[in-house]
Order: sequence, then structure tokens, then C-alpha cells
Amino acid sequence: MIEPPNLASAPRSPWRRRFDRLATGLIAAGGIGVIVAVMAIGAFLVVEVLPVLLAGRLDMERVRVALTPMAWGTLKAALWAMLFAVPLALGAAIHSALFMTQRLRSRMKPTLEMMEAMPGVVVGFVAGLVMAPWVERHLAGVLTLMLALPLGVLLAAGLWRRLPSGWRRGLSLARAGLWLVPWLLLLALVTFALAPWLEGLLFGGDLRVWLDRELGLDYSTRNAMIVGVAMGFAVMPSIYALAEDALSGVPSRLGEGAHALGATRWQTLWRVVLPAASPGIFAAVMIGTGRAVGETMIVLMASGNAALMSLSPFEGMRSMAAGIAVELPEAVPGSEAYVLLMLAALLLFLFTFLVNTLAEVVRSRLRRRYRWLGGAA
Amino acid sequence: MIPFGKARGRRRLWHSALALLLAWAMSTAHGDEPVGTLGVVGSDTMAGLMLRWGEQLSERHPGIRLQLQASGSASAPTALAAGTTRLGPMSRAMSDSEREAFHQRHGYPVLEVEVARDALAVIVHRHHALESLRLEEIDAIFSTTRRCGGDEAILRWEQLGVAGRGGRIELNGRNPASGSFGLFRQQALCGGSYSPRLNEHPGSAAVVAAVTESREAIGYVGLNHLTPGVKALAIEDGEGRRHAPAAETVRQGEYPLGRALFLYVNLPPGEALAGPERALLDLILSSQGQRTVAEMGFVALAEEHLTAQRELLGLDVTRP
Amino acid sequence: MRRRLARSEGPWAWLAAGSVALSLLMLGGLLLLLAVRGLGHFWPVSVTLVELEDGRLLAGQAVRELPLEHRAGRERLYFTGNRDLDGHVWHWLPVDSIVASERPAELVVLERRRHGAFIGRLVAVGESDALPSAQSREAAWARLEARLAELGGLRDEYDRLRRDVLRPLIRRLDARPDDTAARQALAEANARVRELQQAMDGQAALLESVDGRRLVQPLDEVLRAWQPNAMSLGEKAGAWARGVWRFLSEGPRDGNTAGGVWPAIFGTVLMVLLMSLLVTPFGVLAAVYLNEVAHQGRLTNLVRIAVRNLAGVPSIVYGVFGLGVFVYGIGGTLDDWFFSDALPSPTFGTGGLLWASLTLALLTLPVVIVATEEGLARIPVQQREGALALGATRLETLTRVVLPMAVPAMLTGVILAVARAAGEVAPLMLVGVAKLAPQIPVDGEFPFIHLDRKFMHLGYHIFDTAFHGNDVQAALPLVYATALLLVMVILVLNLTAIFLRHYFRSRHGVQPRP
Repeated sequence: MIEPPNLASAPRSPWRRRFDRLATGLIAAGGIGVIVAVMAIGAFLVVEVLPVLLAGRLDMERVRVALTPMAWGTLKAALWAMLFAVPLALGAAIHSALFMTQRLRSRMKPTLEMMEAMPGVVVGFVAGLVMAPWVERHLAGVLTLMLALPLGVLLAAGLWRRLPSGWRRGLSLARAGLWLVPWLLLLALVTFALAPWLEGLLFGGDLRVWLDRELGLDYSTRNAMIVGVAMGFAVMPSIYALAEDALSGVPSRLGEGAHALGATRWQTLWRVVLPAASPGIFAAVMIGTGRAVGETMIVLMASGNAALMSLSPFEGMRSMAAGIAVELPEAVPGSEAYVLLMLAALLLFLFTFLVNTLAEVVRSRLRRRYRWLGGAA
Repeated sequence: MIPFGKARGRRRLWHSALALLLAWAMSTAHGDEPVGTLGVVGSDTMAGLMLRWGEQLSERHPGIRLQLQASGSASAPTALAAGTTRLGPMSRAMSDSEREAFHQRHGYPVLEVEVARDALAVIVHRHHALESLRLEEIDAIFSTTRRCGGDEAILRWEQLGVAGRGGRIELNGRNPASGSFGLFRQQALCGGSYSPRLNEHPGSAAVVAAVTESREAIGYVGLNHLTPGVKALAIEDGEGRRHAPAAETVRQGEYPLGRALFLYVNLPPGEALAGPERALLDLILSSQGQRTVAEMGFVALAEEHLTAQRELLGLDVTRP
Repeated sequence: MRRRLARSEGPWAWLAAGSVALSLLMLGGLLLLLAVRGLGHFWPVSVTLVELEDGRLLAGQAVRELPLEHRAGRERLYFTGNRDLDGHVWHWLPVDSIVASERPAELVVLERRRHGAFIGRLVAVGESDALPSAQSREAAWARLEARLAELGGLRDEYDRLRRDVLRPLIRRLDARPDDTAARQALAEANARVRELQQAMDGQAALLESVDGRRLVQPLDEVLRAWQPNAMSLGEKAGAWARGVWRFLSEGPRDGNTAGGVWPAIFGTVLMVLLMSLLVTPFGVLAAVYLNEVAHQGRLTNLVRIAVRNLAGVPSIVYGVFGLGVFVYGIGGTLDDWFFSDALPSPTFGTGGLLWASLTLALLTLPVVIVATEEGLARIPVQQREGALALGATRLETLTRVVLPMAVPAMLTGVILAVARAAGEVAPLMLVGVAKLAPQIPVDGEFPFIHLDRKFMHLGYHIFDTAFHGNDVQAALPLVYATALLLVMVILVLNLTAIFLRHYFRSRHGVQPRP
């Protein structure tokens, strides 16, 4: 940043100059040292694992048996979390970037950032000990709710169109994120009131028995659906924040051009803004995936840690991060279990590092593209 | 009321002054009161129990402080053999190689004191109709190996013939690092391997919570974790007798999933216990110490067993 | 058709709005759940006397209700206490089997050091060897309250004596067993302890459960007593406030199912403080190097991207690194060199305060670096050029001009780092929290802060109490309260960071990196 000053012309004493050079050198050494220390993580894991692997002291068959369910579980948990988080985060990002008023938006962003700050252990506790048994008791209601919520929102849109224009101005789309909250709450209450009746009508009174009998699906209390919702809740804010940045960074003249040609805001978004911001959104999803893969406490507390290999949302799984957290403190350094867990950690590290690097590269491309388009981002 | 209290207060003052004088005289004359820090290294299952005993010990003898390092049963033998601690609580018996290591280092065998008993209970939901299981059924439910002799894997409640109960059995247990995981595998699965459908909970309380909430669930936990939310099943032996996991059956060794909790002591043969150690063992093997065992949810030892061990340690047998 | 499209935004826009609403609903719901359950726990709930069909009587607090199978009605869980009489503290009762329930004012709740709570009637209070078998209710209650107040004072003195006099003396004697002065002091202290013990016992209460079983309860084991059904709203509010205070200021009891979280608060704060002491200088150093000293080329950019990526590496991986390098590597070596007399029980070769702080410092380093760099990049180049033109050296420009302007950004970074560290639990499970560490890692013993000790942490306390305790149902309210406390702490920290960032941004305009 600071251009090397022209020393000859500056009225500085040799002592000051020497001191300056020394201090700069120290800063450089310290900075490099810190950066090297941070980077040492990867090196450490490789050093712990690679010699053992290369020397062939590890039975590859056992490695496969132990790691495959864990890798499977990790990806499965991340998959279900993303299935929940991505639509939610993108919807929220689109709404707040394109439809909200500036004032509301500046309040909304910190609120959703708050959500990101929720400690995993708290989310995991609520998901594993409170939500999981509750969902098991109200399975029909919860599944109905998943259908009812989007339908209910559309219903609200239909009703809104029939409202007198004064009301419509009060309950504008720009503020819909707020006034839909009580509506959704009402919807949820109605759904849970109707669910037992629906369950009796369609599934012979007990959805779990019906699932088991008709579809052969096993329902376990701690399952991928619970983990997906809980972890989706945890990673959704970071996807939202990055996607929102990407969307609102799209040069406004692009959107204005489309508007001028008669497109609705939604058409503008779909045809113009979204394609322009797609690399940023891709990066956001990647970073979200990285977080979901590495999240420990939520999976540990809500997944049941069963070494199953299925894709069913109603069955549990075991993830690498959770396995490391409970097993590593008890493993004797150098033992097979220890090396296995180190290997799991290395895999986690490599995966997240690659995913994040990919996201970062895409994002820097995007920034360049915006600059070329004349945006301010 | 008031004068009575006053008089009593004065009397108490006298008493305490007398006690003070007496205590001072005793401690200066004989150094009778044991003083010192007791370092204890070992089992984390027994951590709560050891801490409670430590508290009671400091109440009995204010000069003794117990310092507990509860990093697992495996840490006790190494610390005992190396001589960094003289007391090692373990939730399992020492293995032969561990005993051998101690013997080689010190030239005499380590002293084993049984301090309490514990057991694993197989639990189901409180409204479950099932009352008892045979060991091979437990094995067929929890394992894939069926080493205890079951004919086929039991995956559904219908296979056990429980009236009005269908659906798959949801298995709940502990994570591999825990002692219960290994104990259950040894005693209930005959050393086989667990089914991959086992939910491995990171704590016993979580197992109980899972079984409390789910009617399809079955699990295993230590006796001290049982609550009215779950039902502990009796275990049927070959002759069709049922053994419920209760204090009495565990104490007599009838209940098959029991284990003993030990305190290992480094005591050279022919020597007497040092002051603070003597005081601790005296407490543990007393009726007060054993009451604490029961309060913490473990099983207290039988009276004759206590007396035998007190004799072995050279403790006062007449005043348990 | 075209007109309708132009006027309305179509269904997708509404779904997008719906996802904002759903996110807000979930966040609000979670916070509300924690607040209601966490704070509600301290409210002195009324005790219900329940009569069952079979004539049994029970007194307890209704906790939750669940539907029975096959639509056979509902069942209710009562907390009934009296572990010493019943063997357990819970009763599941089918709601249909309850024929009558009332709330008699004379029911008392005693909080005891052993066996947990007692719920029932107070019959008499007196000397344990001459306990009257009947007494008027008011007299017994008044006597109980007076005695409990007296006991509180005695217990305080007892604890002080143990902590401030006995412990140091024992340590002195451990080091030098022939120290006669210490031995004498100890004997005196012992005598005083015995005196206090004697003063504390001697009185007992005769208690009766609602179904008529009686027991004699020594009063020195009773911590508190109240009559929830006879309390006014004001009294209950007072009791609630005292309960919250005790939760914040006391240590855990009964295997973490009762008492407070003070050691966990202290441990969390101390660990986070140590961590910020470690992370701030290093983070700033690295940021200054990257932004001010290093040649801005491809390599520096690569390093920058790598540092950013490290913020996305899972925290558990940092924990693994901490365990392998700090605990087993450096800690093991330290033990070999300096604490070999204590081996094989490790001193630094096991998880502890220092290693936990270091690991979290490493974990949050990228956060601080990124935030500081952002702040440095935002300082106009003209400021630097101006300073240089006036004859300042690079170092002087840095320390006098650039760094002061970047202070808010650093602060933001550190606060964000603290907020992240306070909520992280997974790496701590590997490098140093303890289930129960009644001794906080700071005391009067040299060197005052014990970096090798294990410590308690709010986040881990939640995990531990919820999964490892003896009785989840009993511990659940405390878990909620602890979770609420942790969330509050983190929210306050985050709000501070957001406010600072906002303030900072509005003061200096955004300057894009050239």
C-alpha cells in the first residue's frame, strides 16, 4: 500500500531509517510467521496421516469400513441441510435485495446475522432434545406444514390482490417479510389443529405406522430431517448474507434498463439480475456447504450417530465431525483409531478448503465482472 | 423458650471451648488428626462418587483435601504403576498386564478394594408391555453377530410377540469411547459387534431421554440413570428365572449385566495405611460411605463383604 | 394477461417474502422458547395436591403433559421430590385418574443438600433429640425460617474458613510436614470447624409427606424453604430475582442438576479474555503485513484468499490441530522438561485453559485478520501519502496515522472473534473443558492463574448437562437457562460489533481496493 518513499530526498536521519527498516522487517517476519502458523493446520494433518498411510500400517479395508459411513453421513447431513437452507436463503436474499425498502433492509440484515451467531450447541440442544421428540409426536402436522406454508403464502398473495387499495398500500410487498409472520403463525396453528383429522383420513390414524407398512420407511427420532432443519437454520444466514451481497451488487443500470423495457421486477430479476449474480450465488451455496459439512455440535446432538448408509430423511446418520469430537479425546495417540480420526479431520479440511477456494475464486471473478459492467461493488 | 435457649447457648459455648482445648491438646500431643492432600487418578464414571466421598471426608477431617483427576479408568493403572498416585478408582477390574506392570515396578501386587457395584439396565418406554428379555434376545436385537446364540436378527417388536406393539426397534446406546459401550458388548453381545442401526448417544442421559420419548425405542444405561420415564427390563436366565436390575440382585451377582467398581491401592505388604488414605477407606467402607453409594444410584456392598474388606485393610472392624 | 403481470409480481415474489417471514419466525420462536423456559424455571411454581382414583395422595409441580397411546387420554408428569422416601422424584400420572386437585397453603418445599427437594408438610422444628410431635404451623415455620437464616451465616463462615484458612495450611503442610506453626494453626482451625459443625447440627425438622409418611430432616442439610402456595405475587417475584442471582453466582450442585453456573461463566470469560489477548496482536500484525508491507502481487492475493478460506475450515479441525500440536506436542514436551516428576499424570500434556485459548485464538485469527485488513484498505491512500510527504518514515506513518484510523475495524474484528469463540464448543471438547471443575482456574495459590487447569464453559455445560447428567428432565430447565445466558452474551457481543462497524462505515466512506 505504502509506496517505498524516495529515501534520498527525504530529510530523515540514518538511525530513523535503520529503525524503520528493522521494524518493517519485524512486522513482515511476524506477519509471515502468523500466516504460516495458520497454514500449518493442513500440514500438521498431512504429517500425522500420510506416513502411516504410505507405510501401509493401516488396513485399508478397515479404513473403508470405518470411514465410508461417516463420509456418507457427513454428506447426507449437508445435503438435507442445503435442501432446507438454500431455497430459504435465496428467497430471503432476493426479497431483501430487490423488494425491501432501504430502511427495512438495513434492519433485516443484522437480524439475520444474529441468527448466524446462534451457537451450534444451543441449536443442537433444541433440535435433539426438544424438537426431535416433538416432531415424532406431531409427524403428520409437521409434514403437512411443509406443504401448507408455501401454499399459504400463495393464498396470502391471492387474498392480497382482492384487498382494497388502501389496505394494499399498508400491507405492501416490500413489507411482506414482516406482515407474513403472523399469517404464517396462524397457518401453523390451523395446520396442527387439522393434522390429526387429516392423519385419520389419509393414513389410518398413525402416519408412522402407515410409512412403515406402505412404504417400508423406518422413522427414527433423530433423523436427517431434524438435522436438515436445524443445520439449515444455522447455515442459512451465511448463504443469505453472501447471496444478498451478490444480488444487491448487480449494477443498478442493468435492472433499470429492463424496467424501462416494461419488465416486472420479478422478470427483471429472473432474466437479468439473477444471471448476472449467479457466480456470487454459487459461491454463497459453496460456502454454506462447507459450513454444513463441518458443523459438529448440531449433528452430534441431533443425528443419533447411527452408522447407517441410507438417503432416507427419516433415518439418522453419523458424521465425521461428530465422530472426531466424541472419540478423539479417548483415542491413544498413534493408535489405529487415532489415525483414522486424523484422516477424517484431514478429509474435512481438504473438502472445506477446496470448496471455499472455489467459492473465493468465483467471487473474485464476479467482482471483476461487476467492475467491468460499471457497478460499485 | 428464650431463657432456655440462652442457657443452652452458654452450655454449648462451654462444650465448644472444651472441644477446642481437647482438639488442640490431641493434635499437638499425638498429631492424631490426619492431614494432607489425597491425589486420586482414575475412572470418570466414579468421579461423582469420589467427589461426594471427598466432601464427606473433609467434613470428618477438615485437614484432608481430595484432589481428583477423572480421566478414565485406563489412567489409573499407569499412574499407580508410576507411583504418581497411591489410589486409583476403576470401573472395571485391572487386566493381567496392568497388574503385571505394577508388580514389576514395585515388587508387590496392587491391592484391590471393591467399593461398590453397578449394573447396566436394558430399558424401554414406560408404557411398553414387555417385561423381560433373554440374553440371546438382547444380543439378537443389538448385534449383527448373534454370538450368544440367537437364531435370527430381531428387527421388529412383532418378533418378540409383544401384544399391540409393532414397528421397528429403535436401538439406543453409548458411543465407543464410553465404558458402558464396551461392558455391554462383552456381557450382552458376547463380544460381538453392534448393529449399525444403533444410535450412539454421547451420554447416558441422552439414551434415557430418547427412550422416554419414543415407544419404539430400546436402550441400555447404568442403574444410576434410571427414571420413572423408562421401564427397566428383567433378564431371563436359561431356567426361565427373571432377574430384575435391582440392588439386591446386583449385590448377589444374580443379575447378569453387573460389574464391580474398584479402588486400587498401592500398599506394600505388611505396612499400615497412611493417615489420610486410611481415613478415606475407612469412610468408603463404612455405612455412611455405602449410603452415599446408594444415594448416587450405585449398589452398596453387602455387610459381610464390607467387614471382610475392612479386616483385610486392617481397619477397625467393630465400628463400621 | 399482460396487464395483470405488469401489475402484480407473480407468485415467486411472494414466496421470497415468505422465506424472510419464515426465517424471522424461526429465530423468534427459538429465542422465545429459550426465554420462556429459561427464565420460567426460577419462578416458584405452586404445588398441587393430587388425589388419585385409588386413593393415593401426591403433592408436586406439574411439568408436562403428553397424549397416551391409542387416544386413551393424556398423562401428566409431576415433579414430586422426596427422593429419600420414593426413590425417585418424578411421577407420570394419567390425567383421567386424578379425581381431585387443590393447592393447600401449608405445603412447603425444602431445598436440601442431599436427596434434592422435599415437598410436603412441616410438622415441627426443634432439637433433634427432643423433637415435638406437633406444633402450630406458624410457630414451626417461623422457627424454621429463623434457624435457616442463622445457618446461612454459619455456613458462610464455614466455607470461608475452609477456603481461606484450611486449604493454604494443608498445602503448606504438604510441602513441609514438620512445620509446627502451621500444624498448630491447623489444629486451631480444625477446632473452629468442629465448633461450627456442632453449631450447625443439632436441630431438625419433622416432615410429613402428603400421604402421611414422616421423616426427621437435620436442618443443616436444608438450604432453603418456601411455601409456594402461600406466597403473594410480589414475594414470588422476589424469589424469582433471588433465584436468577443464585443461578449466576453459585456453583453447580447434585451433578449439575441444581445450583448455578458461576464457574462456567468465569471459565468462559477467562478463556475468551486470554484468547483475545493472544489473537489481537497476531491478527493485527498479519493484517498489517498483508496490507501495508507485503508486495501487492499474485502471491499476496493467494495468501489473502487462503486466510479467508481458513475462516471456513470447520472448528473441529482446529480442535484436532490443538490436540495434536498443543496438547500432545508442545504440552507433552513441556511435561518432559519441567514436570517430569509428576509424570505419567500430565500437567500441560492434557487439555487446559492455555491450550483452549490458543486453539480458539488460531480459530478466530482469520476473522481478526480479515476485519483489520478491511479497515486498513478503507483508509484513503492520501492519508498515507500525506504523512510520508511530511517526512514520516513508514513505521511512523503506520503507528501514528494508519493504525489509529483502523482501530474501530480491529475492535470489530476482535469482538466478532470473541462472539465466535464464546459459542464454539466442539474444539473445546478436545482441548480442555471439564465436566465439573469446582475450582475456578484463578486463586490465591501461586501463580494465581492456572493455565494448565481444566475449566468449565457455558457451551460445554449445556452439552454436558443435557447429555451426561443423571436426570435430563431435572436438568432441562437449567440447560434452557444456560442456553439463554450464552445466547444473550453472544447477541450483545454481536450487536456491539454491528454497531461499531456501522459507526465506522458512516464515518469513512468505502474505498475499494485498487
